[in-house]
Formats: sequence, structure tokens, C-alpha cells
Amino acid sequence: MSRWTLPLCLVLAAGIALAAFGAHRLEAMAEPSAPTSLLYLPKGPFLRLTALGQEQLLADLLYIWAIQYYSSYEEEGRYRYLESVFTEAITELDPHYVDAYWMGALIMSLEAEDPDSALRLLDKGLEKNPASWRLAYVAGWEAYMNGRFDRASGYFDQARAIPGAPAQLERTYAATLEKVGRPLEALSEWWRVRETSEDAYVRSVADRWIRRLTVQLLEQAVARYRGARGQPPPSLAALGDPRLLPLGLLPEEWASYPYDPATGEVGSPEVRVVEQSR
Amino acid sequence: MSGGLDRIGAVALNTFREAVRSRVLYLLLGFALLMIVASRALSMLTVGEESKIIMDLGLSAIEIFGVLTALFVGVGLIFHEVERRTVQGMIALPLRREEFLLGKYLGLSATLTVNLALMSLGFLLILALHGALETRMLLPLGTILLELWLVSALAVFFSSYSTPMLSAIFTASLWLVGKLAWSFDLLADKLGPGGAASLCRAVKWVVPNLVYLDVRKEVVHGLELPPERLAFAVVYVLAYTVAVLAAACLIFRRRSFT
Repeated sequence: MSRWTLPLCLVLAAGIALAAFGAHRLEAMAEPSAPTSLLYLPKGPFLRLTALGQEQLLADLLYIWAIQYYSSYEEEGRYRYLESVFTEAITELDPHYVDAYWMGALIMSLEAEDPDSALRLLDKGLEKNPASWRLAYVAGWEAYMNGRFDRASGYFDQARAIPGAPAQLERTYAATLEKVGRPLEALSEWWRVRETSEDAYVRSVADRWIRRLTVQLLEQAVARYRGARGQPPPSLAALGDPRLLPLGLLPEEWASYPYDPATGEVGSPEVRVVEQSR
Repeated sequence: MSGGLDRIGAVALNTFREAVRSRVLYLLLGFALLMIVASRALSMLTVGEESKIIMDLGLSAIEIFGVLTALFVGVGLIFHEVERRTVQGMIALPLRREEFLLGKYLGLSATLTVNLALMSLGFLLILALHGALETRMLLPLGTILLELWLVSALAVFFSSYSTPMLSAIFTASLWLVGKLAWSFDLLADKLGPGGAASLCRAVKWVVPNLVYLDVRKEVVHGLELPPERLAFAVVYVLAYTVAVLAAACLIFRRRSFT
């Protein structure tokens, strides 16, 4: 054994120990494992180049892969490149792939809890596919579920105007208008639903909404009356002024809605029906 | 005139007979049909419209295997005649070199047409079984056929003066460049104003722009397809094919076989 053997072995052992220590610390510092393979996914037109003229096929394969990948709950950090996969890859390769927009948005919203990305993806989808009521509908619900009612009403309005959209969208839009605080427009929409629908159930739903919105409008008129005169009106008929109420939109029997002149409270005729039946 | 057409027809028929004896042809056809059938299985993995996967994979398989057939069968057509020295016997006959070349091209095109018809049959059958058969589906199949005719013209052009290996490389490269012709604009934009960008834009006009023939997106997604766009694409590709064949004839006329 030469005189260098021992020092070299010591240097080797020290090197291994130091490297192991460094690696151990680096591993501890590392962020949760991310799908590094996705780091190399090109974007936009450069991804189109890699498709070698088979963009739609590549979009399909990436979409199928994404469905399987995001269904595997063992993978940590799998949502990190979600927007890259759906917004910058699949829908860039095939901008008319409607399924990829709504499915990507659902994954972003429900799984990754990132509604902003979901709405960005759906906005892109609507820009590229203005004739897809489905995308506007999903975007509307996405906004609605996140409390962005004003934006939701815009999407539903867009969806219902697209040819082929189901009639149900008219009701969804009308209901959202009430949520946004636009009872007059909501009432107008519900009247339209009532007049155009041939379905008895839909008409009964519209009637319920019309009564509910009428109560809201009467309450607002009572508040305005009280503000102007210092006391509630003696009867609802005293509100028969177009400056206080949109008389043309109210049901004929609006003046006979349950009303307490002492408190100025307006009740729904539905309550009276229930009480009478007891 | 009719004698010329008869002679071209005779060469085309022989070329067709020779091509259909090729094992490569059946191998590629088998693979293409396998891919088309596999598209049904792959479509089950998706969420949403399954027929889109079947259409995309089926049409891509038909196009890629069609091009591969044109390459493998086409590039050797002239070369083998030269290598076996049978071409010398041919040109000793009252047969003009252009007639020989055009006959070879038409024989190859007929082979590709039959090949495409068989693949299309399998594809349309799968679509029918899935309940997604539409007459509009014939449009992309038609444009793929035109594309294959152009690719076979390129294969004949290169094989009129080059070896099969080089002809295959040149033809495949040009097909690929044609499929990515849109990217010349992208490259020109990246380069900024100047000679290089102008060159990029000029090259785009020279290479066979196969993007014009791509109507798959419109058909698969049910988008509007203006008839004039389709008409101009057909005119463009047929004119390009004729030009390539004319260039091939010019080269082949001057070629020495001694």
C-alpha cells in the first residue's frame, strides 16, 4: 500500500459524504415533484411545427394523454402546467376542439381550484368558436359558481343568442339577472319565457319568478314611497305611479298582493294560497 | 396522338401491375388499416366526441401511409429500369422518353388511387359502425388523393435523375416542407425586415404548399368550407403536379443511359 492510498481513500470518502450531504439538502429544498416532462412542451406556433402537419392528431393525442394524466391522483404537482397543456398546447394545435376547452376548464376549476385560468381558457374557446353555445354556457356556470354573477349573466346572454342553444338557457339567463340586481330586466325576460314556452311546467316556473320579482319591485316602491312621504303607502294601489313602478311589467293583480300598511311589508301571493289551504 | 396515349397507357398498366406485386405496398396497406381500426379503440379513452378521434387518426393514417407508399414504390420506378438496363430496351422501342415517364407516373398514381380507395373503405366502414358517417368526409379523402398525386409526381421527378435513397429523402423533405409551408411566414416575421425574410416568403411560393389542401379541420369540426377555396386548391395542386412532371420530362429527355 503506497503512502498515497490512505489520503486518497479519505478524500474519496469525504467527497462521497459531502456530495451525499449536498444532495440530501437539495432534495429537502426541492419543491414538490412537478411533471418535469411538461417543461419541454413547446408552445404556440412552435408546437404546431413539431406536429409536422398533423396538428389535429397531435391535439387528440395530447388531449387523451391529459385526460389520463389528470385522472391520476397519485401524481403530485400535476396542476402546475395545466394552462400550458390546455391553453397553450391542445387548443393551440386545434383551436376548434370544443371538448378540450370545457374539459380543461372543468379540471382547472374543480381539480386545480383555479377559476381564473378556467375562464381564460373558455374565453379563448369562445373567441375561436363564437358559434359554440356550450362554451358560453360552461363559462357562465364557471363565473356563477365563483360568485361573478355579472360576468355569468354576460356569458348566458351570449349562449342563449347562439342558434341551437336550448330554451333552458333563457331561464338561466333570466335567473342570473335577478342575482345581479337587475330585477326589471329579469322580469321582462321571465315574461318572455312565459309567453314563448309551450311547456306548462316552464310557464309555472316563470309565474313563480314573476311573482317573486313583483314582490321585490313592490318592496322597492314602498321604500321609495316611505322615503318621500315619511310613511308607507295605505295600500299597494297607492303605488300606481309609473315613476314608482314599471306598471306595464307587473301582473294585473299586483295591487292585491298581501300587504301590511302598518309595517309596509309586502308578501307573496303564494304565501296566501298556502295559508288559505290550511 | 392516340398512339401516344396508347403507349402511355401500356406503360401505366405495366407499372400498375408491377406495383401491385410489391410486398411493401401490402405491408403499408395493412398497417394503415390497423391504424384505422385502432382509432376506434383510442377514441374510447377520450371524454367528449369520440368520432373526432376516429376521423383525425383515420385521415392522418391514410395520408401518412399513402405518402409512404408513394415514396417506397415511386422512387424506385425509374431507377430500377435504369439499373436493370430495361430502360434501354424501352427507349429503343417507338416510345418517347416523356411517354415512358408519364406512363410510369400514371401507373403509380393508379396504384395510389386504388390503395387510397381501400384505406378509405376501411375508414368509412369504421365511421359507419360508429354512426358518424357523413358525405362531407369524402372531401378530405379527395384532397389526400390530390396530395398523393403531387407527391408521386415529385417522387418521379427526383427518381428521373437520382438514386432511390436520395429521391426518397428529397421527396419526403419536400412533402414535409409543404405541410409546414405556413411556417415560412412565421420565420420571416421572426427574422424581421430584410433579405432573409424576403427569401423566406419567396421560398413559400416555390415549395408545394400542401396547407391549401388541408380541409380536415373544416370537415371534422363541421366548419364552413368555401367552395372557391376548394376549387382554387384543386387548380393549384393539379397545375403544380403538371409543372413537376414537365420538369421531370425535360430532365429525363437529356439523361444518358450509356
